[in-house]
Amino acid sequence: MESNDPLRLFSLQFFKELGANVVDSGKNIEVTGVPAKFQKFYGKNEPYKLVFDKNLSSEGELITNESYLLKMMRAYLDNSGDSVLVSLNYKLNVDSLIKDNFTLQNCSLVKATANLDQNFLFKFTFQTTYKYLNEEEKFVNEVYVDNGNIINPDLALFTTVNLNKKDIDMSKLRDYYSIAKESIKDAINRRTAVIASILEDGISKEVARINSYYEQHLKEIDLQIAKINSSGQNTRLKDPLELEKQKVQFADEKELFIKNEQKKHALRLNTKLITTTVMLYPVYSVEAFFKYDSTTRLVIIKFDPVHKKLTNPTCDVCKVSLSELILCNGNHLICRKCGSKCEDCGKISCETCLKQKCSVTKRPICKQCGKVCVKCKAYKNKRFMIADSIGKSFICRNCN
Amino acid sequence: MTIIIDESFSDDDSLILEKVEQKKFDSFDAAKLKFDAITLEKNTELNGLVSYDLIKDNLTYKLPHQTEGALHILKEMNGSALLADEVGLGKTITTGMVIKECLVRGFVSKVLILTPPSLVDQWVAELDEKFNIKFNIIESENDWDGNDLIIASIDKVKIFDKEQGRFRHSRAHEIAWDMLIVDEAHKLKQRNTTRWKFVDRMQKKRFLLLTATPFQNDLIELYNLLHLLRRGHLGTIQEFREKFLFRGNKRRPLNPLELRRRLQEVMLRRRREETGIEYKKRIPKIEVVHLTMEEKKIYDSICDLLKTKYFAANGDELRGKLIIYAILPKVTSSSRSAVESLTKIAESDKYHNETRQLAQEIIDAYKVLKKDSKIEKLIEIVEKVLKEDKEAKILLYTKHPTTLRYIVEKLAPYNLKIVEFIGGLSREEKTEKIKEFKTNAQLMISTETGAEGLNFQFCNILINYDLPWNPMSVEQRIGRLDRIGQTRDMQIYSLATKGTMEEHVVDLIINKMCCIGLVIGELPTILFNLGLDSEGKAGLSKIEEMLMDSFIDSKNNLDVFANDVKEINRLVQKGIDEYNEAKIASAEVLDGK
Repeated sequence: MESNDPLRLFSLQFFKELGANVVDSGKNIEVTGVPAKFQKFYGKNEPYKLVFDKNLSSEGELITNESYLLKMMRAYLDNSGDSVLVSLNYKLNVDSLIKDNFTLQNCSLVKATANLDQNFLFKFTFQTTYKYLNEEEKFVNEVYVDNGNIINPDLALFTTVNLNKKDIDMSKLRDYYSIAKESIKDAINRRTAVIASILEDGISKEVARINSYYEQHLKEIDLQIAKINSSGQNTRLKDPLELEKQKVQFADEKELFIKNEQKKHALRLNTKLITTTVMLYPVYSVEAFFKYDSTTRLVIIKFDPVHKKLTNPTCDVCKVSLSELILCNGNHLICRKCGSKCEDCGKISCETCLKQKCSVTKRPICKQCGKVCVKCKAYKNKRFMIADSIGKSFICRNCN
Repeated sequence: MTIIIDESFSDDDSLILEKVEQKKFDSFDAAKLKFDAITLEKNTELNGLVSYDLIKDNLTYKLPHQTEGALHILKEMNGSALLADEVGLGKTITTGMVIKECLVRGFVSKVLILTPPSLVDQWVAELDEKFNIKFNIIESENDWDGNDLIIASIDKVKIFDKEQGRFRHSRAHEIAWDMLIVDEAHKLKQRNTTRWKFVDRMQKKRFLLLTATPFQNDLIELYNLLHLLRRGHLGTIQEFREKFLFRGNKRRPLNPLELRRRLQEVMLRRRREETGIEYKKRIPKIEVVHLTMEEKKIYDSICDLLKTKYFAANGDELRGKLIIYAILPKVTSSSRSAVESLTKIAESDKYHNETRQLAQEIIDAYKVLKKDSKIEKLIEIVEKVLKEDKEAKILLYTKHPTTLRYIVEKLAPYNLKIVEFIGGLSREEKTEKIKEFKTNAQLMISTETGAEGLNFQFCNILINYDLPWNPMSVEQRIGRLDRIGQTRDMQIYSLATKGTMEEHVVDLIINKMCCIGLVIGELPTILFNLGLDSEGKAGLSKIEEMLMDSFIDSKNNLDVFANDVKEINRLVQKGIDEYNEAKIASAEVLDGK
């Protein structure tokens, strides 16, 4: 038997949790020191020798998916683990987050750091048990409710850490529970319909048998009555009134048997909340510095790994959400539509930075390439300008 | 047809939410463990008996046909079937497994078992000891409420009150039973009986009829039984007649294969030869005790006291009878228990002076008695048995603790290893004593209550030092040995005092009832069929009461008593013959034999 057999691992864990002494010999698990409460619950005194192979069943308690001891272990756990507070941990690689989600068109990532914040959601775990004829089916439904909305998170990349205390607002818990409960009704109804149709097939056959029997019987009685009526007074035959009475009795009888069949084919289903888990999950605020040419720009990116939600930065000009990051040489974060090349230096500039044209060449030039003449106030390419001695103001060659 | 759907959400959800609101949290590991258990537990299919682990240690033998039968009834027959296994295959055990499984899986909560009167206690004990299920017995009409698991004597509850125009226990019909079980169901062969109607009117989801002999003389009996189990399964009676009955032969079906096919849809029947279970013979050994003149005189005086003098002194016949019923077994058990009982009479001022005086005279006669022929006979038997087989184990029964102690005293000089087994022992003490008997002792001396429900299949010699006049008590004694696992024929010694009524009673009960080749479980069925398995007016078993009455009425005339015993024998023999006929008839139709 492999040691990673889930039944074996579960059994080991269960008795360890109970505080019992567990010795795993490989062939079987010997359990002693079992709390009296469990022994009473199970209805059998320790020691227990647990075996997992059918061929060894005579040597101890065989644990299978259907064994009674497993059922009892499960039932014993019914009142534990029903309210849990956990933190979902996520290993964030900031660089990858940016590289995987953004195309850096003309810039490079200089530095990125993530700041952590926490949000919370509720996971409601329900178990629905269907009982019909001599069958029992159990289904587990997990519903995640975050801020009143049902979500379907993929938590495969998260690790879970137990928490004892955290100040969490529980005021809407019952509302969320109602939302969750409502949401599983569809799933329950789907299964109910399948089972009901199986049961309907079964009961139809039984009812047909009962109906056919009573119909035939009534026919036979009617024939008898007709025979009596046609034969006049014949004391050897039954009293027609008695036979009529019998017909009424048969109707009651038939009803009883059909009711019995209905009860026999009834479907009982019960849904219960087995665990409510309060889950704290991380929400990141990433501060990323991008560099283009001589300019550096800080961009804040929000990332919620549970919802796989990334808050993209927007174009400084048109406010559209960006997945391609372009920095203009005026330090603006822009989209492709809002960027053009300066016809002088050829660098990317946004609309804001390319708003003015050179009054000499009549071409749009960026703020780095164009200057305003302090005398004639004309906007001209720097090439047509002479700077003052400290290089702060410019005068065009015409005015010089 | 619309399906009844009962859909609910658990009321306990609120408790969990409350816990969360109060921020009382459990560990994540506990939740994970719980979730793992839920995931691992598989309930969707009924592929095995999940409850078997719980009961397997209580069963002496693990017989596959019993677990397979229980599973078949649940899985293939939805819990409704005619369980017609041959006698001795353990229909009770199979049924117990069905009940246990249904309870464990939560399929049933209300279960009713209707049994013959004499089997009520046996069912209760068996379900408790082997299945750890506590059933309640219906004693009065008020007992139906508040109990979910019920056993009732069918004879008691089927009574129809003509004045009120209803069944006295009509409350049973208002309850929706999850499972109804009727033992010895062949008694439901007549549709016009109150018994049949009482059962038919029950609301039941699952329905088990238990009998090894579903019919005896007439195929209509079989029809009636199946009509009860599944309305219309064999059509109307007219259709059944046309299709299956031969004119002029009520036992032979017209279309046997088709009938068997229909039966198989609702019936589970296994034969002993299929299961490989062997039963050993009970060999009766009546050991005649010849009384000395003095002993015979004492014996006659006792009879005289009980049958003549006592009534002369008292006058209240019923009370007198009850006292005789109580005293007679004691005074005939052993000299020691006789003296004990007689002393009570002699010393009690409740009795007439003449009675007390006669009792004292008998006690005085006992005091000077030099020989106890009965105990000498016992010693002779024990010596003989041990001489033949040094390893022999002997189970000796007596009705009275006083006699038990007397025997122990008398056997003391013989250096035998003896285990005493009386009522009131704890489970551990019983286990210890059985172990002692099995491993060391040669002889176990027990009272009835001492060894009730225990198994001694390692022993094949039984001695009835005194014999209960109730054949079922004797059957219980022999039943301790006559179990699955007994590998040798059993020797049933019974001491019978020559020239006394005991001689005739032993012959009737041992030679004509308990050791005639019946398999265990058949005698109760026969007595039930004859209506002789219930209690008589005075509270004793009917046969015992008939014998006691005969003892009183015969006025010390042994021939009259012997004739009465013959009459009982004739009645019982008729029952045995009918039962054997039913076995043959059932085998012919059900098994094609």
